Amino acid sequence: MLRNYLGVKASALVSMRSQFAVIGPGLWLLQILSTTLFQMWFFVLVSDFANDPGATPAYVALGNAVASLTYASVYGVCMAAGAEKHMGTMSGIMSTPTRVFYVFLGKGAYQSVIGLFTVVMSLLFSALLFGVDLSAAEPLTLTVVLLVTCFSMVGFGMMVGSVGVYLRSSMVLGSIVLYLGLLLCGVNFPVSYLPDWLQPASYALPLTYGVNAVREVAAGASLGDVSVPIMAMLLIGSAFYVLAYLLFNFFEKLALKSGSLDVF
Amino acid sequence: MIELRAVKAALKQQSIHFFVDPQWVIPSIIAPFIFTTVTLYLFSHTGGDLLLYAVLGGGVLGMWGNTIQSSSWSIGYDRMNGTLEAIMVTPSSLSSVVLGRCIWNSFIGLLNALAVFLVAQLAFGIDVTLRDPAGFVIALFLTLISLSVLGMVFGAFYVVTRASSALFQMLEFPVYVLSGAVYSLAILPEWTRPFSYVIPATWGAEALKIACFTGYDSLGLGYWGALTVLLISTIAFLLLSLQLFSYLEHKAKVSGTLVRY
Amino acid sequence: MNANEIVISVKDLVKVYPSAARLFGDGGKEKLAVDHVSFDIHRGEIFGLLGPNGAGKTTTIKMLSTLLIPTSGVANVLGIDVTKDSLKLRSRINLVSGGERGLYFRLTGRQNLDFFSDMYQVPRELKRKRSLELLDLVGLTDAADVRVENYSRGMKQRLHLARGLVNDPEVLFLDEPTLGLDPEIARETRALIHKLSEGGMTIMLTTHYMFEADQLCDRLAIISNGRIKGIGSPYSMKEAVRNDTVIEVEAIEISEMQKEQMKALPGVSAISLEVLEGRMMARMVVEDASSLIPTVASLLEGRKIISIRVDQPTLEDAYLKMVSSK
Repeated sequence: MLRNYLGVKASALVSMRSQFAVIGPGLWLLQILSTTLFQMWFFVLVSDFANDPGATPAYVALGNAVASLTYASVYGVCMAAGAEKHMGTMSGIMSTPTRVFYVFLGKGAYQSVIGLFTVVMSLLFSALLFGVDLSAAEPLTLTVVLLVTCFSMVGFGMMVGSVGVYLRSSMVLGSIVLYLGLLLCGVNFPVSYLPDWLQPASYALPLTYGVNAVREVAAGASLGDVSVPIMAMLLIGSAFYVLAYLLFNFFEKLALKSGSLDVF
Repeated sequence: MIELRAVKAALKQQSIHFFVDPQWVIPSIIAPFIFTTVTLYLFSHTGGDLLLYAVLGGGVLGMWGNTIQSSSWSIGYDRMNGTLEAIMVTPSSLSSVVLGRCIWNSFIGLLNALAVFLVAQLAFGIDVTLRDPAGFVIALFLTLISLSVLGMVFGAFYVVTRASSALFQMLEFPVYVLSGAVYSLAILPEWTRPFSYVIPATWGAEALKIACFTGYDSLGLGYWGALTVLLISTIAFLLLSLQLFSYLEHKAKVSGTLVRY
Repeated sequence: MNANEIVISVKDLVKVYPSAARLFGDGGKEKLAVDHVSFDIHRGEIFGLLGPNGAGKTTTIKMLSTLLIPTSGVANVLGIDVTKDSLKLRSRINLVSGGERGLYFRLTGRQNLDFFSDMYQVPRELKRKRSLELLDLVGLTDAADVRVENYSRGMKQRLHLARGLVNDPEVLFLDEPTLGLDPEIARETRALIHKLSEGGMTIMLTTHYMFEADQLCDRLAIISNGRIKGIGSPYSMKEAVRNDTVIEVEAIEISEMQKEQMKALPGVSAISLEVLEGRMMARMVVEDASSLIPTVASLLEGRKIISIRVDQPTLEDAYLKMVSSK
């Protein structure tokens, strides 16, 4: 147990240190903030042009603010396995006594911090620039919703990213899941706009609940009012973590058998 | 200096990479695909020509998305492979290699247009009829070349430092916003207009829409006016990129950073 | 072919690296990598640059192959200034850096050669024929259409060499050509280098393998801390230590402090310490072994001495002596 905890901690520290190895904190910050801002602005403009009362610019801005969590908590985590193979460090990790799930849990922990920072900044952008009214939001409720959303999204990212232990495809998958939420999770328009056959997919993704919950909190909902989406995210998120654990083990065995640890 | 043989060789090399493992195009076109599909849904309540705007605009955004990703990654890939030095010791210019790769990647970005078109057909049943098919093809070709050349401008910076990739990947979404590919530029604030006019994607999207829709001319220059601006900006970016490559290659050779990844 | 013709001329070459590259301006602290290096290389010879890691070998070879711009000094290759007319020069030279990187691993061997043939503007009528010949020369004909990611290390090295010959260069730069190769592949590589030189190609290579420099090079320069310590044929270098002797001491353990004490003894010009299986060996280049042996033995008192013997100096000892000198 201690070994695994140490593995989580070490992995988180490595993630943090390597974050700024290529680009400094200033440029990194600029990159994250400009990406989320311009993504938000794009959809706000589209919504403005479309003039659809079901998806107003403020609706779209708030959705994109919450969706900005995806960059770190899903994409960042999902890419981690592929990145280790890309750099040739996967074999080194796998030959330690720490189970690989805990190594990537450490990365997830680090990415959670980044994700929460990003979403807070994005909410600020949405309020300052795009007319989102957060004055009715209870700070504690909002914090809880964001923390739970982040928790469940990291689990999702780890589940998808586990494939990277065996295949090269985690980076491809990561890029898909990064943007899929914009389409499926009620970020830019209500889920009801999607075809009926596609809507169940929306409710399998934690971001859908997170976006809905934040919208309700912005409208003045209390913690009790959003307990259902919070519970849903906790449940789904936990299931993702369990699945991630099983999948990491499964793909690890496959990779060891096929010798694909060093293949990228 | 652009050597056509090196451009062709780089284009061929990039195409081989694509066919060996086509899944790698997904990270480059997924953003424009999702962005334009979301746009289709947002426009679906309004309908009419707006849906076609989204399809056309999606094609331009796809070309741009794939170009900016690949132009910055092009040099990065060579750094990772250790082939950057191997290329730079040849008599062919690095700018030719980047151009060849950008052309292929812009072309592949058109896959986004195809994907969006299919979604538009299947989900929304829109009918794409071109008012001027020949004009459409010419505009598409010129837009492709123009975006490739713009990609070269950014690719040049990666010769000096790996951090450039982060810097210029930031430019993907601003072009989505400023080009007005899927909406009218009129809804953007006035102060953004100069930035929009500098981007080839703006004029490319404009020419494509003029070739599609009767009576469309949002920027007031007409089809040939838009193409002229596109051509002039392409030449300007080409000259700029060649200067940049020369300057930045020199800088990289002074600092010895070609081999660092 | 005029064997006296100077093909590479280097005079007072200096390279100072800034500590980090920035888009605008330079980083802080500088590093002097090459410090007023001068040498000439004649047509058709194999010239080696021998030195420890970080000595400036790779920096020197990169400046000559136009990948790095010197801070000062003059270097001409084939009569062309490397900083002024680099484009003109590149079609007549090539550089092989070797190692696991430097090839497009998702392309096949043949596709890699095709790409670089185009980059070197090899005449189209020659391109296919030359690729086939090169693949045959390096023994990769059967693997020509296999992706490089499936090549063994030795195969990659051979492909590197083939790539280095696509333009039939007059001057070939080889940076550590046998680094990391197994002995058989390394031997084949050296044989190929020798064959190329016999065909008239001028070759400059860097290495830190003493026996390779001894075996392969017509002349070599020893470089350490960016400075040339000596230039000559392997024979003449060994002659420089002809009057010296070597004391080899094996003991269960020899500490760094004891090594420094032995180095400080009068008449000791160089010392190296090697860890062997279950013991350590100190090898000293000395003027007079007989007078030093008792002193050395007493310095190692308390350590279990396995053997002390006297030997003739090799090229490695000449190298050590030069590298240790100020």
